[in-house]
Amino acid sequence: MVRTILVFFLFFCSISTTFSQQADHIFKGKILDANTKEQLPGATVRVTELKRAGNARLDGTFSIDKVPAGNYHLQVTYLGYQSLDTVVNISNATTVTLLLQTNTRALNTVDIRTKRNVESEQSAKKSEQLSDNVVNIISAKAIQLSPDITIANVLQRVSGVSLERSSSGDGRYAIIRGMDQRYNYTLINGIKIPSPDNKNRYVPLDIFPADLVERVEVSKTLTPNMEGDAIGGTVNMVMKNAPNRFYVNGSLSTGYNQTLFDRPFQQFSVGAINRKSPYEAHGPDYLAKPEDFTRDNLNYTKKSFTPNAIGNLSIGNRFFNQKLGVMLGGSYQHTYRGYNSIFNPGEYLDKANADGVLYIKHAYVRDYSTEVTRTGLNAKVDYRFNDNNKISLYSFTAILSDAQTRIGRDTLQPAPRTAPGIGQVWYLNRSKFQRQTINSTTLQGEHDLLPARLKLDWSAVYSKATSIIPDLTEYEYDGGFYKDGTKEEPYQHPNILQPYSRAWWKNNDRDYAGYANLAYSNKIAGIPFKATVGGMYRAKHRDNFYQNYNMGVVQDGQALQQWTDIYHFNWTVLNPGGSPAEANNYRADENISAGYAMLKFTVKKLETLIGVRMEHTDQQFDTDVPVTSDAKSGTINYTDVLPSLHFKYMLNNRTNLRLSYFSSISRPGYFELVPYNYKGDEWTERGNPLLKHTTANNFDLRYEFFPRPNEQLLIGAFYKNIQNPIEYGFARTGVQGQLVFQPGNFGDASNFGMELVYEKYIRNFGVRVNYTYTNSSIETSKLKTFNQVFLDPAPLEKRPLQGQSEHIANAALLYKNPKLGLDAQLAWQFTGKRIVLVSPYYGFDYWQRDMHMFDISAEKTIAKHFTVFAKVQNLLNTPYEVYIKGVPDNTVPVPYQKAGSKETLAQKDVYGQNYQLGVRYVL
Amino acid sequence: MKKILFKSGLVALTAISVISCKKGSENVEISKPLLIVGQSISDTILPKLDGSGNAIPLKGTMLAGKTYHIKADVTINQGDTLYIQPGVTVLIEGDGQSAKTSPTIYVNGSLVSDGSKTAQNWFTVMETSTVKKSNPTYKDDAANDPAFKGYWGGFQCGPNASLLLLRWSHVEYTGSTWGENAKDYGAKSGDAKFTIFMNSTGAQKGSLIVEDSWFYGSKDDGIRPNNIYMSIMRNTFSKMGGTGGEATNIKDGVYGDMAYNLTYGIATNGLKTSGDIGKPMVVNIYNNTVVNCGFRQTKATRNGSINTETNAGGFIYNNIIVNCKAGLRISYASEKGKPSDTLNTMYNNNLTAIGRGNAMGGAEQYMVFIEPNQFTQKQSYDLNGYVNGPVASNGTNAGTNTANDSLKYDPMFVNYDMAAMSLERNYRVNQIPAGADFHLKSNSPAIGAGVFATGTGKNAYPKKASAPSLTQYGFPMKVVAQGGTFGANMSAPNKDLGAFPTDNSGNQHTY
Repeated sequence: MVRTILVFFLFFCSISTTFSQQADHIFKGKILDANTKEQLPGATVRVTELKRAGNARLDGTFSIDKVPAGNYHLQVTYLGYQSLDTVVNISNATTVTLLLQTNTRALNTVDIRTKRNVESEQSAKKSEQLSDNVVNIISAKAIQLSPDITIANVLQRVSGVSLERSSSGDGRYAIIRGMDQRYNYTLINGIKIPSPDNKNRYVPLDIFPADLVERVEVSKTLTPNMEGDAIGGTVNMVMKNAPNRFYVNGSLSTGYNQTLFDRPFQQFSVGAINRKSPYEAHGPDYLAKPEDFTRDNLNYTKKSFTPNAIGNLSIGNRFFNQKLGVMLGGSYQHTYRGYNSIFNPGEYLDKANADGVLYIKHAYVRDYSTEVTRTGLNAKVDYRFNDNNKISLYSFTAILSDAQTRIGRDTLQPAPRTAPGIGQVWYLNRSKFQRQTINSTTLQGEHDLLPARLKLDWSAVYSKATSIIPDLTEYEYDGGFYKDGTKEEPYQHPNILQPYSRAWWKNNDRDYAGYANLAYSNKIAGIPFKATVGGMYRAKHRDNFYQNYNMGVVQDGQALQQWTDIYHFNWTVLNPGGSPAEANNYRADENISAGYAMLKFTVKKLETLIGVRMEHTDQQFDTDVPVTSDAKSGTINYTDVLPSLHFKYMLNNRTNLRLSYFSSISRPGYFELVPYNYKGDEWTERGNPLLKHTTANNFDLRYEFFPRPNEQLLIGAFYKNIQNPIEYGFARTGVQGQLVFQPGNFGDASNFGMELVYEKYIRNFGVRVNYTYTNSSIETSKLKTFNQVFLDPAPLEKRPLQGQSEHIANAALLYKNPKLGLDAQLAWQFTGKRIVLVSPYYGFDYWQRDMHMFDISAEKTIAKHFTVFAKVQNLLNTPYEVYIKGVPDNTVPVPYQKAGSKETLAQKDVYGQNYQLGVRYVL
Repeated sequence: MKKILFKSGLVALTAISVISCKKGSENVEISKPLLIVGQSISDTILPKLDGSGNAIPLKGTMLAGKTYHIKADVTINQGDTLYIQPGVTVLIEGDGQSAKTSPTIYVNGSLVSDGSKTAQNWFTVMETSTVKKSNPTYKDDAANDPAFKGYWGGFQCGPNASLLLLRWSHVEYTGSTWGENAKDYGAKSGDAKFTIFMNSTGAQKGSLIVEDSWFYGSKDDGIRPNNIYMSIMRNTFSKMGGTGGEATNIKDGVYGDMAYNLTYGIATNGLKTSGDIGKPMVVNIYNNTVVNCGFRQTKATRNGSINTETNAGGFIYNNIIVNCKAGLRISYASEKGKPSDTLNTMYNNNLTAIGRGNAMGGAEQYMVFIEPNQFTQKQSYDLNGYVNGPVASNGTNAGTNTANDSLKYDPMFVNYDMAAMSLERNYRVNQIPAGADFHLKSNSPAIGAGVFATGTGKNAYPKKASAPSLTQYGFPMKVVAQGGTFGANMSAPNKDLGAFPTDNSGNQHTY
């Protein structure tokens, strides 16, 4: 695979040498925007007499070789600009600067403040520079060229952002500056959206197809007009807006996953799943019978090769003298993925007269096959009454369906295992289907009440997120190979069926929200200022439904029942009435009301933004547990006052120095407060109604240098002091000695770090690099025994926050050859080692190893408006590896361990490469 | 505990019950005072409802000779006592279909079921046309045997329950599912209830005294306490656990004795102790007879007779294990268990007999003297066919079982042919055969093989000065109140092995 990269480099070099050979004269120059002096990569300069043309490259320069000396007519064209006709004299090595005027003025029937090409990289950089706060922006053009098909994957290209993967192996949540997803929030067009997650308020970012966005903004500091519950940062997806002219952008592609070339895709019938539990289908008094539970969804068949289908189409235009703008977009991704995983969870064993030790009991080998259907729909209509009044209606829907087969095998490490090949083997097969939806509809208005002085904008929002996991089921049979000492050869233990369970999850999260902002701009004593006040109110309602049936195994005459196939599995229902009134059946409401005031003024080169935001949180929850139970319902309310102060010192028009302080919060998830009690994959999970919300003080310093409009150098540092961070940890219930996994406040934490972003373009080549150093620290009490008794008090262990890598880096090498219509990118993404799971035991945390991911993508124009593109994700098939420090106490060697290693491999997921090939049409 | 009783008010009336005991060859019967605690409960339909339809908590005295019907969950509040005179029948009207239709007795105070040999108490299901009771023809049919239907919810004790005492009482058909209050008991809605669950997380450890009682039929575990003091003596357990479950599954923080119990046809182990990481427990297990256990457990390695794991300690002596899936196990690690507290564990003088004439394997279920690669070793005075092997660095023993030693250690029960009961699938029978007598014939190797208070040599009481818990708690440990109506009637280790020694001092049950 290293060879692949070498070939790629050689390919670059050969192209560049081919086209830079010396001839008569080389005609060189730059093509720039006449006003902003931005480079215009892709702009065409045509030498009429020679019938030859050149294109501006990534750095805005062009070069045409073998030009004999003489006078030539030049025609310079670029989309969205008035074409330029001029004459030059070429002698020796001539260098010219060609300035193009934007043609927006020609369209100026009403005040069009829309940007020339808001999807472009330059526009993104400009916004970063002008922004009031610390923000990183990725443009649609950058996304299009990147190998990423979901927003989650796009985000990992941003400095300071790393991803947490979902069980399907895809990146799902963004960790911003080492702060995990709970400390961040997600917006669509600046409006916060609810989550379909069955437990949390954060939004899974893999639900959003990447190709419907105009740009993605990651804000790392908050201004008072932003909602205050982000400590890491916010992700804002700005969806495509109505354009100024007829616009079509569509693509169609296909692809496949390398894992599925190597082994078959295991498929079950999604259609066979009962969407409703017997309890829902027949009412609360119904007693479920064995035949109420389906079998087809547990029957796995090998699916023959079916390539992925990915398509998107966006169409927009303006009508009625540009007053009415319409943008419609749709995206559909139907993909098959497979990955293989091993999982050796660490267990703690007590020792006499010694500290406890690590022991591995289970060695799971799991093959995942996941069929994902991702649909996105985007519609925006805006109407401009006049220069001063505009309303728009915006609606976005995302639907993610995920059908996952998990074929598992667990080799038990304790006795009777005495050597590899001997011992218990458990077979566990799971079918999981989940459908998540997010819909957000917003009506917005913008009104210049006093033109250039007083401006009002408002939004009315209805949003809904849903998730359903019907009939989540894993059945099991146990067998293996035993040696009883009577024979040399081990005998095969019969495959004995085991009790199992079937569960139904369903949740809805609905928001009604209103926002209003009033901004007044003026000057006092020559000092321009802008005063803004605003407020918002959101009423959220969430309900959660959970039903679980325990299935027993019917004895087969005078013997234990053996596995033959799913259709011969004779089961009983141990709890025919279901699991009524689980605390998982809950309703939660959250009303947030907030108001803010902020003032922005500029004295000479110093821009100051000062303000305060007040947020009042009013939460309540209600569960179905009986009135005699603790924490059946509860109300929680609190008010936070969140001041902030941002300075931007404009050293010159290319350089900013920013210093900011803001105060922010993070609220616990609704589910975390509810006294649920859910037996999960590995642990019992429980809620914590006494959980406190997190508060933080954040400081940022950033130096920004924009040498040219699409180039930048950003150097920043941050410090966060976090009170009551919420981390998941283990607590003892006091009941049956059970340890439960629950959210808790484990004292205060600090988090500091620095960021570096650098972008540079030289002719056809560009390089983008970012690096983030993060150092967070929290001290929590851990369980540790000596001589089989817990140390009391429990020892404190200092560690980074869960999910925080000390080092995160990205690098992308870009190549653009306008002549060939070729764009290519090689991307490297590095996530340094980090804790992915905090253990309750001292020193047993689960660490993810350093991970280097390489992706490559390229596109080439093949005809007018048509481009072909190819993407390969995970070029080197990098595994995701998790380890526990220390060597296990097992006497029989644990599988997949490196001899002599001081670490225990706890998890290794191998995803395989993903290939994508497609064609795009842009008008 | 006594304070609570005085608070409730003790009323002594005319004598109607008698205490019987054997003094050598004389039969002596001396009357016992009638006891009424608080008010008599004369209504036999329970629970009574208040004006708004809520169940009124139960306290006072259930009267001898009466049959009470429990139609819905009943609760004994913290500080209250329910005293059940000898000769009371409690019929629970449950069908095992859901938590709502399967009543449970919740004990947050004290419950004393004071049955006697001649006036036994009953807690059983009310038989109807659809709720059938089991009968002796169900010998090995867990799928259809009503014993495993879990018709009602047993005794579930809250964190401050102070005493649960069952004496000469029958408890049958427990194991209905948890409903909406499951989380208060650390359970999951939909899971089966244990026959007796007790977990003192309050300031004081409660006491569990179960003696001379019968447990017949449960869906999952029988007695499963945490953090209490206990004495479980001279009881009979059969048909416990449908496809998994133990007769007693004693958890962390429990101190006490289990002795002279017969466990017959239990799904997994007859007697199990299992603490938790960093949380020890000490329970002495002596003079029990464990027969036909471990064959309904679907998981392969959960042992099947007497099992200790995860920080459990205690003296384990004088037990007889016959035709079980495996003999005594002091665990190092099983798929669930973690290492026993070997420092505070002593075991010896146990007899294990298996009746299978040839090697096991294939579809046949495993039957071994000792599961190798755990801590367990054959001790100096043990009677079994295990040959100790090398001891690994972690303390486990890689020994072997001698297949030819089948039947060699037959304890020679008076009326129970262990050889015949090992043939075909007889080892799986969970109904105690009528007339079975687990006393010892005169030629039994179990006679005189046990440790006892005045014994010497191989019969000497064990001592281990280096084991702090064993030294502190003793053998037997007597951590619950001793004697009287509200205390335990302890039986000390006998010179003979098993629950039915030749001096007839142990288990008084007949079958």
